[in-house]
Amino acid sequence: CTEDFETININPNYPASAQPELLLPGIQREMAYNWGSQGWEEGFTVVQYGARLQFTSGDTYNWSPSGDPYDNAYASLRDVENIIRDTRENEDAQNYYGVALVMKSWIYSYVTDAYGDVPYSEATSGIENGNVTPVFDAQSTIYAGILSDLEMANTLLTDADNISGDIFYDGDIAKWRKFANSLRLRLLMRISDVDNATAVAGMTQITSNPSLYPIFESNDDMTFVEWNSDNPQPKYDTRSGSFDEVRLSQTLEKRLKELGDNRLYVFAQPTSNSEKGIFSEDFDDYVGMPNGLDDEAALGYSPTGNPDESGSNFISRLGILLGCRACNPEEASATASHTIIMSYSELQFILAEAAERGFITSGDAAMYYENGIKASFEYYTERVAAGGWSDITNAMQATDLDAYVAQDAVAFTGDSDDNLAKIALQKWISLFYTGFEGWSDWRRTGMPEVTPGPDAVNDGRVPVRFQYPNSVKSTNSENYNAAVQNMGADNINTKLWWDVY
Amino acid sequence: QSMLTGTVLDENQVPLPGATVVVKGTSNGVATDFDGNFSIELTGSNDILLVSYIGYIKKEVDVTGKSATIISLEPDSQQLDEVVVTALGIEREKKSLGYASQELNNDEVVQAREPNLLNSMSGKVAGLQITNSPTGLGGSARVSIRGDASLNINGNSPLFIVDGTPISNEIVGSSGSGTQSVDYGNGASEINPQDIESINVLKGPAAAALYGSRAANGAIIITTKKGKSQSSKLGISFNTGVTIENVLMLPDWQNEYGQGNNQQFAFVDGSGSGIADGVDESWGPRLDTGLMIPQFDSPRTDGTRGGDTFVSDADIIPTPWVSQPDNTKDFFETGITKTNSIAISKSGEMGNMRLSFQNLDQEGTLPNTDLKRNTLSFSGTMNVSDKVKVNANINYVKTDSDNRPAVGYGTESIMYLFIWYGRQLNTNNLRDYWQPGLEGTQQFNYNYNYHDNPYFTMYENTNAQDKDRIFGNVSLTYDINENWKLLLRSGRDFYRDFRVRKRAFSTQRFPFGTYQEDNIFFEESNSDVLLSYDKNLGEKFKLNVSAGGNQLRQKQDFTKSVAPQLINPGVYSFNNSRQAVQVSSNNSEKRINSLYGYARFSYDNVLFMDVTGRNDWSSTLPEGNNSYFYPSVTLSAIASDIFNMPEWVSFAKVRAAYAEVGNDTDAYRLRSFYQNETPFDGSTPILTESSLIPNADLKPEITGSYEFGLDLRFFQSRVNLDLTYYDSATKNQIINISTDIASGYSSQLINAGEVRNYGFEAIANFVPVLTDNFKWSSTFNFATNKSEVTDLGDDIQFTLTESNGAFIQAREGGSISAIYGRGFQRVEDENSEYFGQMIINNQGIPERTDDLVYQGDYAPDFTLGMQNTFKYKNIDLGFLIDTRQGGIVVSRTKTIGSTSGQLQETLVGRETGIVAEGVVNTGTAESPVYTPNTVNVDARTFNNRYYERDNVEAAKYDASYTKLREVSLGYSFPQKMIQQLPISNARISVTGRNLILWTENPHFDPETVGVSGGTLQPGIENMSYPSSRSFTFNLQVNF
Repeated sequence: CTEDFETININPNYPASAQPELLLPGIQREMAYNWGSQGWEEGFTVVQYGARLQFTSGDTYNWSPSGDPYDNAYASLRDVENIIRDTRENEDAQNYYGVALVMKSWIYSYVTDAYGDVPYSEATSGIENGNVTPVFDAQSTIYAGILSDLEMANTLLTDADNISGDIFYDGDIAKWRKFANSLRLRLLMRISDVDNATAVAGMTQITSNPSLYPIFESNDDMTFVEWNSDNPQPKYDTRSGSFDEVRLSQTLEKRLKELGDNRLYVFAQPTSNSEKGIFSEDFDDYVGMPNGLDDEAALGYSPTGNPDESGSNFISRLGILLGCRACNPEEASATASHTIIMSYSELQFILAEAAERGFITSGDAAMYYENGIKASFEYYTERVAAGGWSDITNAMQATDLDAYVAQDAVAFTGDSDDNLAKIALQKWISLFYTGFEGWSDWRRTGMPEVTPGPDAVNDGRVPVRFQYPNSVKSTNSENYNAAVQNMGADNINTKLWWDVY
Repeated sequence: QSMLTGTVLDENQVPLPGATVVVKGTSNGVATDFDGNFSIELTGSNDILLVSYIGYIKKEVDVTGKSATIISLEPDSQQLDEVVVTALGIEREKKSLGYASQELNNDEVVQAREPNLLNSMSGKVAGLQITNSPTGLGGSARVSIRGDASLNINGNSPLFIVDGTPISNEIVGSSGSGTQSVDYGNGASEINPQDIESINVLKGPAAAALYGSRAANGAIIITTKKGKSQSSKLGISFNTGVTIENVLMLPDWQNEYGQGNNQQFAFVDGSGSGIADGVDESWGPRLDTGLMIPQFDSPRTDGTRGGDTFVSDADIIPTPWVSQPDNTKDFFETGITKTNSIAISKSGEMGNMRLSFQNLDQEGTLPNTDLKRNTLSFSGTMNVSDKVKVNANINYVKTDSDNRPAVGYGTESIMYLFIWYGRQLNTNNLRDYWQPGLEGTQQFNYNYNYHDNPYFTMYENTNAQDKDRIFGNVSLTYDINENWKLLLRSGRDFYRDFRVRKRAFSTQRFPFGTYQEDNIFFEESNSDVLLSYDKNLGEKFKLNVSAGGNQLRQKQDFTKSVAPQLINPGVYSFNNSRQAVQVSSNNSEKRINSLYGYARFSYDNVLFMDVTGRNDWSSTLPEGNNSYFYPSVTLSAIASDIFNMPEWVSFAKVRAAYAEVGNDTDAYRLRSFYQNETPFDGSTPILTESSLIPNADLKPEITGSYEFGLDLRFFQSRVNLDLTYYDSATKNQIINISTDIASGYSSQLINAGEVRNYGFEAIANFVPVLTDNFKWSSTFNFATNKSEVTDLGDDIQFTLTESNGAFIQAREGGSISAIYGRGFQRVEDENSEYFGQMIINNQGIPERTDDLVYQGDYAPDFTLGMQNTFKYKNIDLGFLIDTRQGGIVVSRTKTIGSTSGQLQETLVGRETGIVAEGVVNTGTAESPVYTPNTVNVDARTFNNRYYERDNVEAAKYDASYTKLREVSLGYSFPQKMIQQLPISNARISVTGRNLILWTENPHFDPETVGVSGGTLQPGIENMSYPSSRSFTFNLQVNF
């Protein structure tokens, strides 16, 4: 009587296969959430948008081997591969195939820009061919694969809208195509110092034929996740203590104040001591703190040097846009803050740099640059309006953007080095809380400058990569060792392939 | 000549009918009647009676000149013809067994007065290790026999059998979205100790081979009480007890510095607006120096409290800054457990029956925690005819709790709160836990950044349980003729467990509250048929052959529903959900069919051989591999009957056994599947492929075990020794090994690994003093076990379980109980004068290793239980000392309590800073040059960096302890006193548990396990609740 054993042992709880529209939103949510949290943990402090007031080991570069984003990326790539496997040969599902290639490209760029060499050519085939110890491919190989996938996605994403379960673009294939090409521009710029020929050829190909290679044309096209009350923005559900551990960095404070940049109202709140709530017209009520203090010094830091004016009370929280519910139940919003994967303004700064450096000939660097600045202001004005914070919205709307752009520190009027520095500064501001992009761009250009904090432990160096997760040392040791051999020591100071400065 | 009348009683003052009374040196003898009474003719002077009864020590009583007497007999636990219940409910003479087993009788179990049956077995059986989980209130206990052998950390529990039928000892853990684990106890702990006649612990596979798969780790055979056959009158027994318990030990806190940082603190809103008032650590101002500081319980000028931050921003009037050494102790209450039970029994020609009821009502040491358990048990035997007997045992257990505490590390656990609790906090001022006018919506607390008010947690955020369980069986025996016998038995264990979690508005993790219901349904049925053939072959040969079959069906359904946020405070219903209700369910089913048989040969009652064989077919394994056979053979010889031995040797037996046991796996592990995740925006469904690489070619696990033993008794069984050596290996283990997630999958199911366990057990029994009125008996249980992972593959580091950087990991050549984790870097050059010293970085902080380093084993080197009982007339006194030597425990209390500045040792260097002892490498990594460290680091930074959360070396303690586990004092009322009453005997007793703990550990009871979902993690202390010391006052009356 064992003949029904086969049937008894079929799992009644879960299906043995899944349609692409059921896998896609999980991949997107997981990776966007992860991009957001890593952006908060490392992306945020390492390029000094925020500074740590407590638990400062990250801010002092006392980094440990990191399971994220490695674990999350490959777990999501498993389902990306499942979509690719099920749609590649299906003529009616080419849009899913194209979208999966774009997701794959973005995720791989995220993970390789964190660690360097990672498994790529043999990855995600644990069930398909039983390979549980994939080789680590050189970052140059991975970039070649990504760029070719994105190019292919541009040709695949041409059908009418026929996908669902898409929480990035709600099935708008034209926007996906724009994202594929914009992302390709981001990554081409990334490798422009090590493989200039490829970068220039690719950028030229895209920018010289906008109808064949559409890219973002406005903030409407940018890639982000809009959260909802079931899945609130990543900071919304944190305890207020956890949110308050990260404060406005002095670096961001000074740079914005020097420019009279009203985005300060969005990125930070007035100090508690000022008793102004979530907004004050007076920039003096916004006070940052230095990065890279040890715990003791950070908790006791006094902006004025007067010990009676030390502590969290005298240092600005980050903006209410990112705020947690427990921090401010009346004002916090679950949805106003997006997790930005790639913004229109970032693209404009990429084009500005490409034009300034002569990688592309179409368009004018100054125009791209100004577009980028204005798009960033517009975007944040729209988001604080969505959050219902009228004081901040009014202040943002009142910004005289022409005057802002015309001031010496912003005006695109200098020599090429000067202009590139201005692009880098404005791009850095606009990349506020966009995952690792601020960090990646700094690693590529060294601009704007990052000065390690006084208690940083890494011999005056700023980390340029993550250490591999501890687990791979035991689960895939041979290939791990080969990767270390190929790339250099597994520490936070080993430069990635594209990072030559 | 004169007549003597008398009564013979057992040790509980119950009359013994049928006892033999003989006048010494004569053939003059009588038997006692149903009420234990006798009368006998005496011949004259110097009359001595010999009184005997099966299972009791024969007694000589001088009755010279007496006309009436009462004689009580002591049970003989070492009787040679002792009968024990073995596999499949088969009763065997203990002397014929070829393997180790150890029996506990009702007294030994009941004496402990523990609500949890498992706990009451601690220290009483050699090789049986019981580790209490630190959650009180019928929490789980981790049980293992002869060490852990399975790489599946949850697969090391022995099988529990009640009256011949397996019952579940599972821990069904759950935690919902954002809520923490709650320990709801394990199955076997729910049996009413009062109903237990005896427990027989079958320690190895040889003993348990007939039970198949699940008995690879041994079996615990529980036999419940039946209606006594010797008494025809209605027996009524009543028991009432009250237990009071208090916490045994709390961490050793410092009391010199209060909350804050940099020796500063001032409360404004408890979330950072004051001076360090968002900081939940005790690095603040010095206490008891006359400082006046605004605090959460300081008054505001408008009469509200400082912590009433949502209703007032009036100024806070500073109050004295003083230490509160007992502020954690004050939170705990005296736990009270009331048990009342009654049993009635009767027997007669037609059969016998027993019906019992027990009510247990426990209030825990944490406020507002409780456990109520009502147990109704029935057992009955009916003699349908001379040849046919029908037997039924049914138990109904109803468990209710309004609140069980959350465990582990997180805001829902009280010990988490206390490890961050300012040393100046006055706990009493938190009792009124709502802000005025905001009752139900906003709690009142001392810190609004990270924590919940502990009273708010206990009274508002409850974890309730309502469980109905029925287990039992019905059997029929048919004595077909002299030789043939048939047994049919069907047993079932099923329960429904309904759990409700409520979280109130303003909870740190749930500002809008949350509500969760779990529904668990479990059912296992076992049906057996067994046909036996008994035959005497000539004078001396006896043969017994049996064959039978079993079918096991197991079904488990789990449904969890969560309202992630609520609309209105205080309304706990899914109708009140602010968001889509999330429902998930998981059902599983498995089946095992078995055929088994055994043959027993005995020669002249001195040589015994048993052979068993069993074949299982499991639905969880793939076709082709799902049938597996395993045999066992045991031999024993009564050497003392075969050879001439000196007179002082009363008995000597040698035994040997070899057995194999096969094991299957869980359901649904052969194919990949896609799991559901919470939909996006409540409407976009999401699936993801499981991250486990399944295995369509799984093979069964096989455990093979040798065992040798000696059973020796000397001096009329006043000195007894039972020695066992065993050596077992479990191979082809079905394990889930970690894979590089870059393969797309985080783990892979494989057959691999061989774990060897070998060890030695000794039970020594002494009766140093035995007189008419006084008896002292003493038992020692000793066990030592070594485990070795003999085959796993070079590269595999298999993690059995992990907690905060402490990995219980199997590596080839290591042991199965090894704990790995990061530690301190040390000078490795043996020629260096600094060899072994810590390496300090140029900031003065000891460097951590990158790799996981072996830190120790959670398993002890040995365990020793010492039990002594003294009996003088009607008074008895017993105590049990329980020692566990060796092993480590990794403590989160140590790590966090050090970084938070709460523990006593964090006082070091507060004012002066700390210069760590160790050396700095001033050379290069390749050619190091070491110089002693001179960098001074402030104490807070030092503690934070020294006790990094994954630094296992910094957090480990020796897990050795010795406990005065149990002391009991009893008094049985003399027959004379109660003769006038309608009661046959009465006894009062007082029992103390966990009275003294000897340990090096200043902060917690090292007998602890971590609780993570349904896994008990040995060697891990993760914010464990303090264990408790208890006293029970008990009265037992039999009518």
